[in-house]
Amino acid sequence: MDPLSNELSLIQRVAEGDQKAFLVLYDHYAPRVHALTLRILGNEMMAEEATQDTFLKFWSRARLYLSERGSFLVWLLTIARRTALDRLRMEARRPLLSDSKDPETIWPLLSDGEQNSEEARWQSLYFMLHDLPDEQRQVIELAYYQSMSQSEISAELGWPLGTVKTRMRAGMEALRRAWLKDEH
Amino acid sequence: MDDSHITFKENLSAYALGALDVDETIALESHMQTCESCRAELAEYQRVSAGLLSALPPQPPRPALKRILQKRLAAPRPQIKFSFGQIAITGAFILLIALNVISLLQIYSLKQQQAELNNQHYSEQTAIAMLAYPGTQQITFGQNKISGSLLVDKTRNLVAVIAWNLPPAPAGKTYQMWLIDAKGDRTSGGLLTPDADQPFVTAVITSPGPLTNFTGLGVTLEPSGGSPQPTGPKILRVDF
Repeated sequence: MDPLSNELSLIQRVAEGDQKAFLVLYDHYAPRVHALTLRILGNEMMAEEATQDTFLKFWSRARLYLSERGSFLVWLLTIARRTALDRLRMEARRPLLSDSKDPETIWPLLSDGEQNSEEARWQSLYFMLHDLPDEQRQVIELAYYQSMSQSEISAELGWPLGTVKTRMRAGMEALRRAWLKDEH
Repeated sequence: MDDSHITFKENLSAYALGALDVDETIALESHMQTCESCRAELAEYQRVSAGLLSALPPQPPRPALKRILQKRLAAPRPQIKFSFGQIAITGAFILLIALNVISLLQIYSLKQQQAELNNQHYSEQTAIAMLAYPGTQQITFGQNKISGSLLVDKTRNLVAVIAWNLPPAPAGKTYQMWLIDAKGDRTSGGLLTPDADQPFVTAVITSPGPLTNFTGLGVTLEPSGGSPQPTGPKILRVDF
């Protein structure tokens, strides 16, 4: 997935109502948005609706994106995360625990020839997360992909609050160290 | 490095994930206003949490979704256009307001305290009246050590919030209420201002449209004066 060299110009055109520009950005980013909504909701139909809602929000609010505040992808995925979490709350579903798929079997979906350095870093973070001890990965995923507080995770998993805090801290510290090491 | 600083540092990673309880969130945000090392470390954790948004293998949706979106895009977008006359009238109106603003500010500062007292009195009276009304839906909640009730009257488009144990917002911040619709869009319901001398706070929201358009109420921590859209940490979420 190559970065779009004219991404900012496409976003400005979307803000002016250009459907072609919108569809170029959709083609490029829909797999990422859908991966996130699917991870949060765990249901293809609901994830598709959340993906659709995310892009409709982008269509109506494109002018609110400010490039100096961060990348477009993070902005779009932040909208997607909130949209999917709202849907999750509406459905009042039990939280999804960690996905048990072997990461090695999933990543081939990324074409080797299309990888750029940013893409490689996300892939690397995914592997880092899956390399964590299960109990550390689980609390991080419940917090981030299911929007649960440490108290709620403690109640959900039946672990003492102090244990949840320790495991979350240890897991995030390991990710931070590895992520920063990759930056240098 | 004192013990409280160590505790704050230990909470930074959970804050970056949005997993702290509300009292810890408020305490940490207050601490970070004066602690540069915590702010720097938080920025690193936030880079990790932003990375987690993208750290998932891409999953293309069904091709049909693109066709559905194309059809929905075909519907015209609401456009706001102003004529020259409207701009001139608006300009004159703004000028008029500017000329009066100094005297209004003086009157405002004198009346502000009275208005706050009246507002609090109105909120409490309304909440009591709603409690006594048989058609009022009462929803109790307990989240992040904050408990209380939501009183919902869909025929009168009124929502009353009674929240216990909500600590005063830190300096420069305020609590803001949001009515949330089925698509997750937020409409401001005004500010929620706990009094340090009172263990509970009461507020009444008059819905700008039919209350049946909304499915829940949220409270976030925002910069003083509130925000057009939520930007700060989530404090409460109650569906009705």
